[in-house]
Amino acid sequence: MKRIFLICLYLVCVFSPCMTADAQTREDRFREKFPYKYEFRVGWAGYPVVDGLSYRDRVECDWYYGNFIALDDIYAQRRGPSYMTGIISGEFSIHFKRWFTLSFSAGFNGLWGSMYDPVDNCVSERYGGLVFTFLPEARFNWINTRFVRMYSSVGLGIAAGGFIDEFHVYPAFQIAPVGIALGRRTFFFAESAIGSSWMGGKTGLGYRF
Amino acid sequence: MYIAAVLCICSCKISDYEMRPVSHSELERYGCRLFAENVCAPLCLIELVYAFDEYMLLPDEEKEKNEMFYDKVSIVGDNVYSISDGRNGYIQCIVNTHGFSLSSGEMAWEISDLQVRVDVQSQGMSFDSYFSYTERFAVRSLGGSLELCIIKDEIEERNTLAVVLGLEEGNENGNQLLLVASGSERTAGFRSVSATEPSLRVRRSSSGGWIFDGVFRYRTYRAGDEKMLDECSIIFKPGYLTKFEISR
Repeated sequence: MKRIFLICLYLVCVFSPCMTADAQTREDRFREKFPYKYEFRVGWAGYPVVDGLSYRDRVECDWYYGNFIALDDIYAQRRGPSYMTGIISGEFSIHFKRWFTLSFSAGFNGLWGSMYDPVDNCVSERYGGLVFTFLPEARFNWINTRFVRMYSSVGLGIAAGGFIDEFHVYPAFQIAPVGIALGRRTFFFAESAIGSSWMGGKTGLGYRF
Repeated sequence: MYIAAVLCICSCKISDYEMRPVSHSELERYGCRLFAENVCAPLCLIELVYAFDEYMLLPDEEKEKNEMFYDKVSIVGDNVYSISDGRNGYIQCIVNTHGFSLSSGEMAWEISDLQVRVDVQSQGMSFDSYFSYTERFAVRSLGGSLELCIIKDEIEERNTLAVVLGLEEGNENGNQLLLVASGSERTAGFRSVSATEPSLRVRRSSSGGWIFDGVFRYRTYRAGDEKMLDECSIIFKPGYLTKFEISR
């Protein structure tokens, strides 16, 4: 038993400097071809599912209680279609390691729509709103070449905003299983994502320095 | 790429509401509701109180033969009765006779807590709804005709209604009635005025339903405005489908 322990201790002492040196060498090699510490991104993400569900009114229907239809049912102002811009965000990232980047994203989702008068079928009122999202993300880079980086990320933050007479605050949670960044100092990125802030994808441009 | 971006932004739709103007079907449905509430329901009520008045004038031994009211009337107070009829649709109310016969014309009967189910399935109309009135009604006899009107509330006047039902002149069988009705409805933002133009002939069909002949018209306005928004005429002709003429 004592002999086996001594042999294992010998092997650790012999090989650990090599492994450490190898890791240092890989990090150094990465830094040689990727000499950027920070990056800034501007992107657009969609579809903001929770924003859409939070501010979606009950479905308007033509069902009236029995046959009872009132004057206000006929002539009251009606809502027209409502839209969102999707999440337009700015993101600041710090490259700590070859495999790890920490980013801070701040974005907004603009909402707008209109009310109209059914008597003369013209817009009587326009309204708008805004949802602000703050989302710190941990990004794990698993392909790092000179021009291509691929990564996965996970983020947890907060969203708050108002539309017409509603105001909501809710947690923002995002997972991007696959993302790709193409370029060097200036780059294009695209990533697929699921989460409370948006479902689908995010794309945009960035700059490293 | 920019076009794609714009398309993507435009596709971020929250709701599917589309701009939809006031439709003919909505105005027709509202007209049916007004007709049921301002013509059919008062017609049910007048029939009921007239039958109750005849019942109250019967000697006690004859009352036993009356299946409509015998053992079915509740005494609520002094000269105040709760009556109902479920033979055609359903109606119930509380009647204050003030101790007088309706046909004597000396005093109007006061009706309260009126609940009535109107079921019109004739002349192409299909309307089945239940109305519950908070207003009080006065029913009086005027020279052979029966007049019904809403007793005005001193605090809040929301709706008005006046109906006169009488036998048509020259009608030997006595089964064709002449009905004149006018009413108004008021909400926070809108109002409507309805009336028969000038009167409706009404009679019972062999199946127990009503057959109408004439025109019932209503107009809608914004509250405080005299400019008409819409006008709808409901034209009844025995043997033909009901016709709706809408100004829009």
